[in-house]
Amino acid sequence: MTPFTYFQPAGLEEAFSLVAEHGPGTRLMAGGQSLLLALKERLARPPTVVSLSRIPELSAISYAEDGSLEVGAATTYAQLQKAAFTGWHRHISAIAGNLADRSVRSMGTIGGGACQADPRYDVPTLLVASAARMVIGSIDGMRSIDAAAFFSPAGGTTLGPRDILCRIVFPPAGVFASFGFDKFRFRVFDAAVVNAALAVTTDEAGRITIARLVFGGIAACPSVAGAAGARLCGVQLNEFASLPVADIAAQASEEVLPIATATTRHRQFQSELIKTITTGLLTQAGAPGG
Amino acid sequence: MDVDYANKLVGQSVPRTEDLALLTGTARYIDDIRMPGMIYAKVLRSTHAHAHFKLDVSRARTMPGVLGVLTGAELVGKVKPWGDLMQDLLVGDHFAFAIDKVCYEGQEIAAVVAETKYQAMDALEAIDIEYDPLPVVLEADKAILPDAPLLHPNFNYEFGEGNIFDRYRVRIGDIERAEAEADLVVRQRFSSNRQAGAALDPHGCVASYDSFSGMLTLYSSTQSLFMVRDVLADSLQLARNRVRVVAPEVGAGFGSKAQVFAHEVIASIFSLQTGRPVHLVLSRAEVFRVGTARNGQIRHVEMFFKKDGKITGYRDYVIQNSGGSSYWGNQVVHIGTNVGMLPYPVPNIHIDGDIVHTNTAPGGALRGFGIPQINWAKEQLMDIAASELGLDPAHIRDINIVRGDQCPLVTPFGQKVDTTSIDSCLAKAVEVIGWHDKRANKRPYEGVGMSLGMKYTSCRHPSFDTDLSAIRLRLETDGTVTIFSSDVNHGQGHATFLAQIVSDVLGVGFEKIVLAPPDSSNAPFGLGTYASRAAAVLGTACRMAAERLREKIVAIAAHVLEVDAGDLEAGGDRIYVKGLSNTGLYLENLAGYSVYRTHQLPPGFEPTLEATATYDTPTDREAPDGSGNFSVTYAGGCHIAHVRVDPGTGHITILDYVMVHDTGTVINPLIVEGQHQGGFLMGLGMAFGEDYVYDSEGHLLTATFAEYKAPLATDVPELHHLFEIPAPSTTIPGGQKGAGESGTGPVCAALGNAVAHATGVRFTTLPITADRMLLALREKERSGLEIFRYPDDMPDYDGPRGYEDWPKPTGGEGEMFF
Repeated sequence: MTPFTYFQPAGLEEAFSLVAEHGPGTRLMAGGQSLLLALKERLARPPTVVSLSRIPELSAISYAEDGSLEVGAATTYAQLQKAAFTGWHRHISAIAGNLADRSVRSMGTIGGGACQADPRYDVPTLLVASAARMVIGSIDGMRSIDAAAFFSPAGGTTLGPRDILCRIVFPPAGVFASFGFDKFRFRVFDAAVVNAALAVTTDEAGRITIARLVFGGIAACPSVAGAAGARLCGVQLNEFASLPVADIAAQASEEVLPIATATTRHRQFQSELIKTITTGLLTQAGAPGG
Repeated sequence: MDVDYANKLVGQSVPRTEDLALLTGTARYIDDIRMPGMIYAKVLRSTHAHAHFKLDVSRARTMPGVLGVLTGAELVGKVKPWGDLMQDLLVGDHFAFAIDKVCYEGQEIAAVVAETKYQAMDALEAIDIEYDPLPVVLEADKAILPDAPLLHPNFNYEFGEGNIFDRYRVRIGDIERAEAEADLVVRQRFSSNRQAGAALDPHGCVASYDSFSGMLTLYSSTQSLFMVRDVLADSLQLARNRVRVVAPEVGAGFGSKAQVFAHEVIASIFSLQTGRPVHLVLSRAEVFRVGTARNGQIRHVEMFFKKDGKITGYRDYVIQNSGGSSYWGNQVVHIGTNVGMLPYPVPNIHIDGDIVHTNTAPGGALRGFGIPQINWAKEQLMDIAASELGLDPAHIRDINIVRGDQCPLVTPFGQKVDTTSIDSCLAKAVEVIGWHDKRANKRPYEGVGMSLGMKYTSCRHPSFDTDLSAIRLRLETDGTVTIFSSDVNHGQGHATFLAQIVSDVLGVGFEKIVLAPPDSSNAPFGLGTYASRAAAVLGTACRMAAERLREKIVAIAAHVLEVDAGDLEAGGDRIYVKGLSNTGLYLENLAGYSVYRTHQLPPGFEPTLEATATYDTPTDREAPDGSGNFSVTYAGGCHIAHVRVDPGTGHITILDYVMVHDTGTVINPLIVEGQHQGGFLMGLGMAFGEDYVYDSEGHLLTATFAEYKAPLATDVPELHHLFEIPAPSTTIPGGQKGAGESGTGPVCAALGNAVAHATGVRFTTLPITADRMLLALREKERSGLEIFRYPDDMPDYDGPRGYEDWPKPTGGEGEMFF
């Protein structure tokens, strides 16, 4: 570690001011599970660190009137894992509870995972697939953007130097007719080689209106297989068995990781894993209760 | 009432004395040491794998808190290079720092000592360094090519040249004839990976020079006090009685701490310069880069068989990657190959070895010491041969192995196998796993595979003609016993199993026996703890010392009680007349006589009750043809794995794993079981995940536990199928054999054979990772091959695919590298 000035603001407004005052070199710290490692190895040398751990509203879980789930950015994975969620929100608990190891889950936060923006660590994929809204604050006021717009295609986030991610708003528990998540990692605590989520909405007649198929670990930001997802639209969930699942999975793989670019063993492995995982997600979505 | 003291502790699962401190966090490791006035050193390490460099440390010298800066250039002529004291290389190729050229990433370039760690780190950043990069060579078979970049152009090797720093040769029997008369020849190139010791307690030391007494004390996380002491003293040209090496609790080594390291020399020099204790503990990234790794091997193996499955010959050309520098590298080939040939007494053996330097991490000793590498090749070829001959893999092994009822037996390679139960181990493992049923009723993507391995119990290293350990015992004046040993415990349970032996021989209560902390200034000379030698070699020294001490104690008792020594027995903390166990004299009283009431002693009895014993194993030096019996006795075992491969992800699940071992007479079953489990775990890591992965410039990409894929608890199968079939050694007086490494050797091949049975994919390289497995499955489908070799049959593989492309040994045929 190299010396830095450390602030622990007790409220959001104070945090906004500190960030604005101390400029672009300032690093925000929520659970510290990424930043502390970088500081210890002297890989990051910020002059100023602002902790978000003492701001109560950042670790609150609540529901909006329309049933949307509002999660404070400094909510830990452990809190999410333990939360009494219903409907598709239960997948948020499952994903949070199967990420890294227990000590990381106890300290690490969903907002930290979003801002770290490493798609191998499941959170970005979850946010994009579920079309979460990201509520961002700064000294200039509050605004919200789509998760898809939060992650920069070149890596990292689109947050400005004065911005703080305050809240994540997930759509209501009943929005998705089906939601699935899966991943492959070498060992239980490792980053995913590939993670994937499939979020499906249907109309009154039970026909699929949106099927968002998203992969993490392939690119610098979550990869959406739009065309493969579109092939599911108009189909009844319970008619999935009749779909050419392997074909759709192959299309998804080609769409997010064209085989021509898969020149390394790692890339070729990912390409095969996408097919396997997508086949699994589609089969699961079509199964009763999927 | 007469108490029966015959209930001995040897053979019982006495809970380990060591565990309370380990489990409660009160054990003190190297980084826990705090001394008054202690200062902190940090090392500047190369960020290039091969480069010339220029250095300017003048800014660092002026940084706040800095008390000293060292570079290689200023030590030339003042500090002696080392590496030639303990092995048959005549080249002292180790030094505290690179002088003007680095040969691997992480090599020491300069060091700083400062009042605090952070000041030392700041000062390292103030060192100006300019690299002039050189081309790198990372693979052993590339390093022997004529146009390969040369690592050490200024060294003259006795048996090598260029990057080949040593050669190895075995000529037993008549290999040409074996080949000509063979019914079947199987050939395959196998390569093996680099693996870290990955001891959780990092390498490190605290050096403390007392300018008043002129004594340099080095506290070090090491496996061997005297090897460190002698080499360190020689390097610094200090008298060896003025260098004292002390080991704190050592959180494992696995072989990776069985040599002197540059950081030990650097900290000592700083302490000599400043007169203050100097702390120098390596980070995980440093340990990965310089803490030594398993030597990677490429083996070009041919085996010759008769129709009935009898092995008639073994030919091999091994090219070993020993990294940028290597203390033990050549020994790994000698010993690993010799012992690794067991349990088959092959009549004709022809082996050539080139042991080479590459721009990668130094190759060192690691659990198994060459045996996992050869086992990986040989035991897979046994399966390949079985398949060619239409034989069951269990049968082809059964008809070739050394059998218990043939012992003692001398193999053509010279091994004297005093006893073994390897034949029974095979039969038991086959029965427990349900081998025949699983072979006959194979399920898709499931398979079983086996491997047999034997392991030396300590070793007379060809490099130095010794294999000794020593114990001194003192009966203290309150009837307690202190054990002094320089062989450092780092997981073997010395305090427990030595006390079991002493308790049985002296009749002293187990709880009254203490193992003194290992300290070269008061312990007898021993070689250290490595090579599965503690129970057998140190244990024998302990038994001998205890018997000598008992003789002395009994002599005093016989004199005082006025009875014949032959009528006395020891037990219940006293010496008593046979049959009268509740009478006699307490050890406490006898010890008191020996030092405080010396008129009570028999005439001519030399006061005090101490006894020392040194045990040097009755083993051979290596003969010019490579033969010899290096090991006092041989442990061994049969492993069988039952695996399932996920055809969608390539992930391999171990459904069951059977280990049946011969560890001779087991002193403490609990400790031996732990050793086998740990040994298996190390083999599992080597088989399925651990590797040193480099980029094309020689930067290590796996220098953290996040990237380095050591197995986690969740990757380990239930190890409830663990059995012992003891064949007590007849050479070791107590019958025990080494336990530490027999769990490691067979794992890779057992898993490789199981994977091949499950999928038809034969791995010839390690590790077997999910990505390799899945791509091999896909390519196998595409190619239509029934047996698919990975990586040999992959389209993008650029190595030799067949025998005709194999390289030829580089040494001249007439030479003997001896």
